[in-house]
Amino acid sequence: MAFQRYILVCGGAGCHDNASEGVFRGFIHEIEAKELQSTVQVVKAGCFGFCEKGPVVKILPDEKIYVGVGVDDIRELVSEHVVGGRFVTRLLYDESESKQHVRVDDLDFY
Amino acid sequence: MGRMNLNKLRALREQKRRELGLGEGGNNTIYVVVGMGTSGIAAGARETFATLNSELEFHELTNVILKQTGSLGLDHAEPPVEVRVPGMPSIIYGKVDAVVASKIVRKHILERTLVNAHVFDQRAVDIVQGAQLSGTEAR
Ligand code: FES
Repeated sequence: MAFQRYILVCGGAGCHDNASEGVFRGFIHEIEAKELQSTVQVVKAGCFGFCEKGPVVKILPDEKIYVGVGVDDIRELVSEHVVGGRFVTRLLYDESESKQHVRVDDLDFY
Repeated sequence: MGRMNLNKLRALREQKRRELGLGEGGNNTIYVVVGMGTSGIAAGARETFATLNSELEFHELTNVILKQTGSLGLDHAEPPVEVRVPGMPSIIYGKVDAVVASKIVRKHILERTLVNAHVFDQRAVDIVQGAQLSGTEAR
């Protein structure tokens, strides 16, 4: 038996303040309601470094990061991403944003 | 060592291979890497390493390679342990004391489930892309 997907819900202090606990419980509830508990594991994780955009949820092995996830989004994330394999772009962390930051190798200094 | 015929030699090779976890079925080696930079050691990484070692021995897990490395950069979550099990996403655990270390062996390695509340899969924002690329390569 092995899980096919893992839902990591941030349990760091920043996300906790943004009510990640409810999101964590909500995911467990939804996974059980859909009887997916033998293929999907929900775990609490440490800070992902996106605290100001919390609660943060990461789904493995797809390596997708969802930000600002609320209890109302859980059903959609499970049915679309986990069951359907379609990413919920509305909540996806926009990786292009990170490219706006200057990377160390881009600095003349180095 | 006395004389050995070819068949005995082959059998011996197979046996040793199995002991090393390299037997038929190929790539089933599991890697457990403990981040033992100075802050890791200060936070008790040696105890973590020793616990992992004895748990692996206790469960006779010969296909697991336990290694130590330098700092993983998770100084807020020392000591860190990276676990790579074939067929599972590679996971970095943080704040791994002796209790969590034995959970890693029993749950993650033996039962293939993640240990709750200790996954520290953090990647700094500006290296997210690069890390993902190298992550998939490693897998
Ligand atoms: S506390 Fe959740 S990302 Fe930092």
